[in-house]
Amino acid sequence: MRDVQEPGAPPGAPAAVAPGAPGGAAYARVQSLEQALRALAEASPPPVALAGGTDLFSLIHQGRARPARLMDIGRLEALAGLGPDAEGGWRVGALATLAELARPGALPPAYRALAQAAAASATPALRNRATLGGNLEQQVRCWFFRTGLPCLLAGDNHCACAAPGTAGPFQAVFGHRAGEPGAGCGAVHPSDPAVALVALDAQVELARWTEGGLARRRVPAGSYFPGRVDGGRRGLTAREPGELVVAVHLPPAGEGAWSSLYRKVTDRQAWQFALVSLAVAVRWQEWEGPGAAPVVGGARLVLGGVALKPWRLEAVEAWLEGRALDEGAARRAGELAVDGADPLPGSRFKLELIRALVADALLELAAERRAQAAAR
Amino acid sequence: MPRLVKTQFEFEGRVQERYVVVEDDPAGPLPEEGALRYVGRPVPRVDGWEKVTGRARYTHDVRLPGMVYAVVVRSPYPHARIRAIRTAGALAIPGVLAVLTHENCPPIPWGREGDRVLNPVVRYHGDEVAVVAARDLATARAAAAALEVEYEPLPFVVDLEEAMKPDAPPVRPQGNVRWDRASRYSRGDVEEGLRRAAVVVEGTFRTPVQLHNCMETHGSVVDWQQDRVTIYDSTQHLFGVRDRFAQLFGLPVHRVRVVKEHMGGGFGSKNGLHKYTVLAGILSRQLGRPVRCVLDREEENLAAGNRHSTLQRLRLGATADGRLVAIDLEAYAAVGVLGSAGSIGGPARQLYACPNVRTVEVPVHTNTGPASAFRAPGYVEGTVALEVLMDELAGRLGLDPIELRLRNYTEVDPISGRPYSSKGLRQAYALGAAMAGWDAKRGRVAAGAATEPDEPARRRLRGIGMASQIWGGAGGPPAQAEVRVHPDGTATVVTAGQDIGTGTRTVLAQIAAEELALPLERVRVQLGDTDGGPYAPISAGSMTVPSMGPAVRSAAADAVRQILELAGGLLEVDPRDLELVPPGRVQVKGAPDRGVGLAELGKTLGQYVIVGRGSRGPNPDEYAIHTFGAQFAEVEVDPATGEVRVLDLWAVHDIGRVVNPLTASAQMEGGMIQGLGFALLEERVMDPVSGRVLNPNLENYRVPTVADIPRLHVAFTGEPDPHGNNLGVKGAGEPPIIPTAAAIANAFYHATGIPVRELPLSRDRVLALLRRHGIGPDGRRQPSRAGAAEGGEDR
Repeated sequence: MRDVQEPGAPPGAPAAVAPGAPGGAAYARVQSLEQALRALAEASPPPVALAGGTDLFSLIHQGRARPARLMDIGRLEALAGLGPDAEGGWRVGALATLAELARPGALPPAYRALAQAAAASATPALRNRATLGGNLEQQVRCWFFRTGLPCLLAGDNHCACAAPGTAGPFQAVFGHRAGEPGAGCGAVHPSDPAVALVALDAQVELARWTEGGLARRRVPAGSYFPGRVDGGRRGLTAREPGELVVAVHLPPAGEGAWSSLYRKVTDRQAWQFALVSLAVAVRWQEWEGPGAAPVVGGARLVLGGVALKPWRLEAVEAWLEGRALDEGAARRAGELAVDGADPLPGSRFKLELIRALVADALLELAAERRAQAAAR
Repeated sequence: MPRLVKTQFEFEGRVQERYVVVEDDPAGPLPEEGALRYVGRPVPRVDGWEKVTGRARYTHDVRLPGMVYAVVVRSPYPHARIRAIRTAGALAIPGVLAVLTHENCPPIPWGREGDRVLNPVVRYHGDEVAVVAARDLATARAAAAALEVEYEPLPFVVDLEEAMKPDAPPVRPQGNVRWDRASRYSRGDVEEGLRRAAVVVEGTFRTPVQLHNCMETHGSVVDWQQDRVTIYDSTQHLFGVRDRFAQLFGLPVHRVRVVKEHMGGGFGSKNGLHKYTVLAGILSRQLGRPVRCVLDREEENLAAGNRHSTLQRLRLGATADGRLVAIDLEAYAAVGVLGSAGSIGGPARQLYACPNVRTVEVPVHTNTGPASAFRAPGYVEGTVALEVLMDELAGRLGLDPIELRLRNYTEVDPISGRPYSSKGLRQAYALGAAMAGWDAKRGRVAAGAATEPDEPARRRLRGIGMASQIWGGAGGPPAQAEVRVHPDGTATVVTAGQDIGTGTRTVLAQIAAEELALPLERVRVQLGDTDGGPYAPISAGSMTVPSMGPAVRSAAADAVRQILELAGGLLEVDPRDLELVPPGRVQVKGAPDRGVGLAELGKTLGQYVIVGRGSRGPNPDEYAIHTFGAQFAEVEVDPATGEVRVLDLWAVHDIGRVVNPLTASAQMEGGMIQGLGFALLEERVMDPVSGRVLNPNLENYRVPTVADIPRLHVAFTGEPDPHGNNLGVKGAGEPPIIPTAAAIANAFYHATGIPVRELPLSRDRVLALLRRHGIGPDGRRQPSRAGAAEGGEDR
């Protein structure tokens, strides 16, 4: 094998690739979380963390990432594991693969939306490699960005996708207007699990190295994805340089009061990022008896594929609270879901998908509630 | 003795006259179907174990000692003049051996528009700018990235209809709309036919660019040695590559050898010599080492060929009782920077009895990769327009779509007037309709009809549709084979043809084993090497089995003739009184106890190898030979989400005698799946602003996954063709993709009442169509919009 070389390719050129080390980057595997965090804090240039590599390797191949050093965190015990935590909730290690999350029975029923989101992602081969932590940190799938065209997310001063007359149907409908965090960018956040995590009110645990040693913090999933275009830093999350995603914490599920689901609309039945997806978590009120529509105690609805972050439908949630969920209410919720939408020329059709998806998912949950009550 | 005759030859919808060598054919009629041991039987692939164990060697797997890796540098611009290429930085990287650019590349001509292999002007995103050779792939890629190219961007146009506008930027000095290369056809008087017609339907149709996405991407390894060149190429035509390469490099053909053992798909995109082979050849000659140039997935989707998009204006005129009196087609094809229009008008010219037909097919240049043949080029696109409009005509006339087609059925080829050698289309309609439950399902209410009281709030719209298929597939000469019978009673079929993954080895082994009365495991097929046997034609145009099959059968029959002669000498019997019976035994007719096994006979022959020779005879001039078929599709449309779900596809095809129902069904299924992709999912997307291809990958160029594939039902009419060749076979490669998209579009029409004008039927298109025609998310006609669909015409 030849010597690993530092890449000297000019910006815009395809990345060089050395055998065994994508992008010609130096490769090293770290043995402990402390070692990894110290490297992130102290090494210059700082290494890029590598776990499943499903997105990072594509970015390198597409010339969108040019890491000088790759730090393999794939075997860190501190990032592994999947099980109950001390607070009565669940801890999902950042290295849990999507395949593990999708395995029936791996997660308690209340977190079904996460299991379904993991199962709806990518392909079996990719799910076997892709980790939850990496999934949250992945880059947009925007066709323009991935083709190497100008993009704010790549540090350019404009987005090719925003030019009048462009093609490309997979564009935002929320959050991209002037003055909004995603202004000027038509891309959407690609993750399926992120949508479910926001609906489940999960927290993302981050760790970094400080002078005092290892420091941890938790960020609610709802604010972990700021949906901001910031050319200076490429990430789409609140993670600071020097931080690693350690785990995701799911709140205590309670006495079966919450149920959740995840639904995804694509053109192709598999291996496609969402045109629109939806995660719903709902808590029901006391059962009113046979014939009555179940009444919503509280609900969280989050859309995927429509904005640069998982897009929470707070107005719909408020409207649903205390409401009997029948056909009419579900359709009305679907209508409310597109309030304030501002579709781009290629994304207008998504409004229809949102309406149908919200109504269908709510009705599905209501039917399930009825069936469960009847069985009792 | 061979003799020379002139014959007509049809390839992918175009008829040519050519000379062929004719030899005596010793093969007699095949026995009755019940007496056949291998022909017609579902024999598993003889090379299946090689493939499932990973032992099968594809061109991608070729690694030679000292081999060098070549990487092509491609243009990021759709049209640009190369101002300068600075190679010093690339050449300075250790391990980089050569850089070829238009400045130092030998001036090898390319295509018919005056291009060379490397040019100072690049005309599409992905066009070849330079090629870099290095000791390994990573170094070659690094060097490619280090090459400094200065471009002067030029005006460009990537869309077919934009390119047709008078003020469009010219792709070539010759202009974009190539009327000089248009194909025109006319019979009767179309204007008169339209005047006489009681009903005229018309439409403007748009079909997308479909990418082949061969599982094995294009590529070659070229090993240029002192006195000979060996080319390992992923190709559908070994001899085509050999002859063209020899011609471009000024070599005699006996010094050029082309090898391909296995191939992962071609679909027409690997029909001939490609630039990467030429570039690897130049580098190999220059470096004195084997050079490997294999495209990656993105290059495959940018530069390895595509099915051109089309714009078709079609008019049909019919009498009140549903007889076609006029078919008028004007078709434009976006052939990219180079390439020909497929036979888009083929179905319009051939499928129905109609006295007045006019077609014109015009290639139009765009700043996109060169179009190439793609499984039934032109026919897939042309069938969409013709068969969709036929269903609208049936609707206008109040006729069942199959009934309308039967009223225009023809037993003679409408172009030549010659009778068909065989035509099982009527049976295909009947069998397909029975399999699909056509009559009952056609009766279902279409969208917008009165609501049933118990219906769910949201109605999914179901429909069933069908479409017809016509295509060539006669096969023909030249095609040669040898059958070598070894002293131990085994045999090798030798031909320099290719198995492009369709099962040719298996089918040829079946044919030889049948004729030689040997067990299949005692017959081996050797192919894939131009030095390894006699000539075999291109594997395209659905012609491999109907060309090679009869040649192999002749060669086997010739070997049998010799076996009987030799056995006659041993048994002291007149050879005419002998017969060859399974398992490889010669015996006296009527006295089965008097005989000799082939292995025993072999012992008396010393090491003499019996060599039977055979060649494909010409097709009969008095018949027109075609394949036919009908496909049926049932779909469900979700009016809220625009999803078009195909529930079932039924295919019934007339491909003559079916030699192997397993491999033939696999062909049918593959074609239907590719057709389904064309109808619903597949579309190359160009960015009109940058001129780049936005989805040159498998993520966003969406071929169907297993989850997208509906239940597939396949049947064959199965009658051997009595006139075409000594096996009664016709081709199977292309027929199954031809009617699928049209059948799905017609099922959509039945489900929604909305005629399809543009593919693919993606969610955004479907939702727009439904709303424009007044169908709401609940699947009902919205009262305020009622009547919007009545016009029916989307022009």
